[in-house]
Amino acid sequence: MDKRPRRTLDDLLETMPRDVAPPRALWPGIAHQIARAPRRSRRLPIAASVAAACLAGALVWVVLHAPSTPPRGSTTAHSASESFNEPRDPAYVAARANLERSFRERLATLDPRTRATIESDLALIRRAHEDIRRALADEPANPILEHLFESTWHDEFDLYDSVVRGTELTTTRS
Amino acid sequence: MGTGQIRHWGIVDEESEPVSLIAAAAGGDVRAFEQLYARFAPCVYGLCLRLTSQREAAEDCTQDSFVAAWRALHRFEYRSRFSSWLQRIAIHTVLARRRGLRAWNEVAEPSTGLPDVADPGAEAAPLDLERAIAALPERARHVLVLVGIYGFSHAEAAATLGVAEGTCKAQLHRARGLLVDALGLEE
Repeated sequence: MDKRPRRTLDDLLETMPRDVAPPRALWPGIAHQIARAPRRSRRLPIAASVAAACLAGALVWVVLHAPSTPPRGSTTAHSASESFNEPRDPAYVAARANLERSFRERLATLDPRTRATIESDLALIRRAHEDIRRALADEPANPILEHLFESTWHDEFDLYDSVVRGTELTTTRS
Repeated sequence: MGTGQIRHWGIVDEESEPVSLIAAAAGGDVRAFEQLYARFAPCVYGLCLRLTSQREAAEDCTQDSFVAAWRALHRFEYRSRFSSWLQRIAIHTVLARRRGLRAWNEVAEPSTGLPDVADPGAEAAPLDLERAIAALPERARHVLVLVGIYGFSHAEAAATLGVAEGTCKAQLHRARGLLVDALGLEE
């Protein structure tokens, strides 16, 4: 006859160790991946290519169709990078600053109603981006949040691109 | 947020939460991150092993989780313990890997037969229990591991697994029933 006291499932679960040492060294593989793909590098090439495309468009437009009045928006606009937790690589920061400058210059040439709509859209994108960033702090590596975070980040660049390209067409026709 | 500010608020102390190492790693110090790995790898690997029920998969997920943690570390805001933050990364990594494997049709469900769980921690827990848990249907196992072993609330587990809270409770009930039957236990 078995004289051991009968154990419940909760008793057994309670005895399970939460921590289990990996049976082999995993750090070398992690170190290798970290070295191969440094932090934040994933976004930089995309940012650089988008920025380069926009800047190239802006440069052509400036050379061929220089506005008769000086840009006004650049003195009152706040920096887009203030509220975003994005790559701090100097090349990226410079590219982004140039891109935003071009965007602001083009924005200033638009009529007030269009400008207000674009500013409103931009504020919406930034608010969403910030909300998602906060959510990601609580739910790191959540693939849905990661995707949304990147989407809003791209949305801002798309908006810049639309304005730069849109004003280029308008100016070319006029 | 600076580490001095965190200590001033009394949120954590260095003994229980390696704030200085976290801050250094967030700033790009790989050696500091290696020390964090040494300290927290058992916590992450244990969870991955129970969720995947396969040693190799658990090793892969542990590696991927730490790589993801390195990339996301600048977003860590000390609103939870670092170990809890790492565990959430690990859970998402396991679930994402599972979805990826299903999409590519690479593996079958590991819910039948004895799993490969020969690990040092198994000495302290009955091997039969580890095997019985590993043999549970995947969704029931995930809920049992999170709620029954790692102390997640149903709301937390449901949100993390992307299911309704009621589904979470039902899966736990199912998992417990299967384990009780498999191990001949009292409820």
